[in-house]
This record gives sequence, C-alpha cells and structure tokens, in this order.
Amino acid sequence: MMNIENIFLDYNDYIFKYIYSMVQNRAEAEDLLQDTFIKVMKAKNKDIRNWKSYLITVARNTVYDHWRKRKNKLSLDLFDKLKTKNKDIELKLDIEKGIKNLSPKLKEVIILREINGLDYTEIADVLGIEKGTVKSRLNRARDELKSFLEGSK
Amino acid sequence: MSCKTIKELLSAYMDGELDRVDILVVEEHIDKCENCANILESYESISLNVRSIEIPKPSEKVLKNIMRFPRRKIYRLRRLAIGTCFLLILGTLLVPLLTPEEKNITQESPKEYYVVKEEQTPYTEVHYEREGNFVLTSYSGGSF
Repeated sequence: MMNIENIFLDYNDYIFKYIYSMVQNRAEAEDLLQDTFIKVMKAKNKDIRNWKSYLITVARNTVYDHWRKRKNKLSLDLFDKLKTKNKDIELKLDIEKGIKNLSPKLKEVIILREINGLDYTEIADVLGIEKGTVKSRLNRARDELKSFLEGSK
Repeated sequence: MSCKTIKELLSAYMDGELDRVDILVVEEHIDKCENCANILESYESISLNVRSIEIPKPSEKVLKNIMRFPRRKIYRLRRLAIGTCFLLILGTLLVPLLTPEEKNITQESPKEYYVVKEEQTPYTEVHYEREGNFVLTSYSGGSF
C-alpha cells in the first residue's frame, strides 16, 4: 500500500492537467483537484494496482459530479476573453476553443490521449468502454477538431 | 482499400495502436493518396498543438491544503482519543462530588443519663444525626 502523500506528490500535476483541460478554469480545477484527493483519501480500498488510471477515474467522476450539480457543462471560458495578434497563440487558442466545442465524450478521449498520454487500453479502462470505441471516438474527435480549425481560418 | 476505410485508421495509426497488417495497409495507401496523407498531417499537427497547450499548475496554497488532509485526519483521531480520555478523567472526578456526602453528620453534645433501676451508674448517650435525621445513638460508660 502506498502512502497517500507520496501518491499526491507523484500525481497531482498529472491529475490537474486532466481536470483543468476538462473544465478550462483554474479556480474550478483547483477545487476539483482537492475534491478528487479527498475522495481518494476517504476510499476504503487502497490496494490499487494502477494509480494513474484509478486517479483519473476518480477525477473524472468528480468532474462529472460537478457538472451534474451545476447542470451547466459550459464553464466560463477564459480564452474567449483573450485577444491577441500573435498567430501561434491564436492557433493554440483555436485548438483550445476546438476542444471546448467537442462533446464531453470526444473531449475526454482527446485529453486522456494527448494531455495525459494514456494508451488506448488505459483509456478504455478509465472510461469503461471497448478499445474499438476509443479508437473510433479519437478518430471522430480529431476529425471534428480538424474541421473546426479549418472553419476558423 | 477505400479512402473512407483508411481515414478511420489514420488516428490509431498515428497513435501506434494498429497491428502490423493495418500499418502496412495504411502506409501503402498514403504513399499513393495525397488527400489521406494530408489528413494524417493535419492530425499530427493537431496532436502536437494539443500537447503543447500550456496548462497552469495548481497553486501552492491548494497543494499545501491537500498535503494537510491526511494529517488532519490523524489529528482528528488523536483529538477524539484525547477528548475521550479527558471525559473519563472528568467523570471520575465528578462522580464523588455529585453523590451525597457523609460528612454532614453532626454530633450532639454528650448528654448524661442515668439508669434509674439498679445501680445508678452514669453513662453517656450520644445522638448522631445526618441532615437533621436521627441515624445512630451510642452509649458509653455505665453497666446494664
């Protein structure tokens, strides 16, 4: 059994990346990070084999609970307020907007794959879906992002 | 193989999630099909850009807060144990204070009575009372 403090030190950044990418708001993400670790601490079964997948699963449930409570999936997007002439930054902002525009199902596969670097088996494990579904969702997510970026040019 | 079928494989090809046969099929196709090659290039560009999104780190305050959670839990248990001990000690001290005390027994000043019948031997009769109620009479001296 691992010490919860060590787990937190090892994975807080990793989990925060996921949560932040999902809610795209720092204050909200910080609250949800705390909630995630409270849940992990309160959990009775600490005999976890894959902490990465386990923590992402708890974080995901926390994010979805939060959305359910607020009944508003669209958080205030800070990026909408930013205006810049720098093309690189514009492209990045477009990509962030594109991710934001994806449906939650497509958004999370992109985040788990690109931001958290999980492979298809791990994503399937976290989301409780088939590997083939991960494959098709990722394909669709990238296709929608591509269309979004082409449309915003 | 058709572009439609290949297009469905491009994402997994990029992620290294295809088996050997499919990899060969995709590579053979994109060598000839510029359209599918462009789509793959777009996916790669998107992937690079998504990975390079700058994500802030959680603030120090939040990290410290979370780090204190396990200790807080331990402290809560300790406080509970200390509180229980304190209540037990307090209870032990309070029980004698709350029960009726024996020290209110008063003693009358000795009075002397005499047995009239036989030898007129003097004896002492002492009345003990607790809170005004008679509890005991003792006799001393004299013979019956």
